[in-house]
Amino acid sequence: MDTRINKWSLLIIVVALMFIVASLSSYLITNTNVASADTILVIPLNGPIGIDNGGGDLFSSSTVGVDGIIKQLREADKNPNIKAIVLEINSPGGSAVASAELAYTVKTLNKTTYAVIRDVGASGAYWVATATDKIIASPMSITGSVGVISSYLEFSNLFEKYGIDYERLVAGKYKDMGTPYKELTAEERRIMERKLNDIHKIFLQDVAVNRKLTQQQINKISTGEFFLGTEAKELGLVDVLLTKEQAITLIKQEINQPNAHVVEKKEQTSFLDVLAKQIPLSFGRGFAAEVLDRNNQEMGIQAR
Amino acid sequence: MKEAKFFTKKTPAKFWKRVVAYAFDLTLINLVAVYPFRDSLEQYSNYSLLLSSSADGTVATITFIVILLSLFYFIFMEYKTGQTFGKMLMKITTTSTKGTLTLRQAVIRNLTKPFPIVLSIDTLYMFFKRTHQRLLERFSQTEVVEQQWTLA
Repeated sequence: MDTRINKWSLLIIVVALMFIVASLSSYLITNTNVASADTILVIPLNGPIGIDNGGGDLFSSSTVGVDGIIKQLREADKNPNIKAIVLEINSPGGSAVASAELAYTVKTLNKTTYAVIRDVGASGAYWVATATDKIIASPMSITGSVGVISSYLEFSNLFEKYGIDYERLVAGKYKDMGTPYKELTAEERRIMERKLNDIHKIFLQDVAVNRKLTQQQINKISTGEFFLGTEAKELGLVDVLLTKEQAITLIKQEINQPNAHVVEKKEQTSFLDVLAKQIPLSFGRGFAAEVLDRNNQEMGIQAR
Repeated sequence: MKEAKFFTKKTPAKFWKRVVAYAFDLTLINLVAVYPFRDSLEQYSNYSLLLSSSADGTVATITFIVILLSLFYFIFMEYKTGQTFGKMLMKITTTSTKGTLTLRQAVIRNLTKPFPIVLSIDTLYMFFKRTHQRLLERFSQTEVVEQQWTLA
């Protein structure tokens, strides 16, 4: 009995000792390593912008969830070791609401912020870029595209061909406006276009304020045309034309931190996230439901 | 009428008991030796350095410390008591095949413990031997046993 008590006592002492050593080591590491060094944080925006991460395959997401990015930005803003935040943009835009929310967050940060546009930084992604202090792009980057789109596939003729009827049961005559199962009426089309124009105005106004654009510049970009980096520079849509590596060097110079560490934030998906996302898709919904869901996503109003 | 007599007999511990014991030990090590580093590890799972190797150095340091603590745990507990937390729960014991367990034996038999992949290779040896010893157990002349009640 005594031996048994001794064994457990010894175990408790060993475990306590291990915990103390691990905690002390952790404290020393946290206070001496790179975490305390001056850092430039690079946050990638890869893919269409949405409210949360969605779509994609098992290990990646097809949309950039702004909720996660906003959280990362807020955390970075509080970290005194982070001297500048770089949004590395490779996105065609996405949800108007998500883009506006992200742009607002970027604008309210206290740190120096940069946008580095790689292949594409268009529409909603460009909206986000305009909220940073400086936009850097490649001469061949695609940017601009300040417009709003809400196009979708309309299946009514196809359904008619196969003898499928759309049983319209609505309370409120515009309730199913935009459904892919019937053609838009002229009145519905006017309503949809008016709403798109309203969003376009907000988008354009925010971009104009962020970039301090003249009326002439606003007129030029309001068509929704996309511009190459070189054109965008002439129009005042971007500030500098550089590669990513050159951009990092420039940023280090501008923030007077030539030895700053460059840290890239990874897109993080835990195994549980993957399971949570995939299991309901596999077991709770059929293929048709998935197709319809994707179609409905397409119908959302997109700044892209 | 003859009275039934029971006595204990030491036999090689069942494989499943050893696996469960190891799982308990790993859980304990995770709680006491890995958990305190959660902030640093979280930081490095989120941030990967592009132009600095300092993070790799830090992660390597944490790994090294955890390995050392794990080795200390297995070696010290088995040397002093013949049991770790998991073995205590599963009621199995490490013994020397030639007397008392020495520190040298405890060190050799536990060298693969912090490395599950190496340990599984070490464990494969067990399936080819009737003595149910891992390769390092054979080198260190140790075995893991359990007591069984037997009717005389």
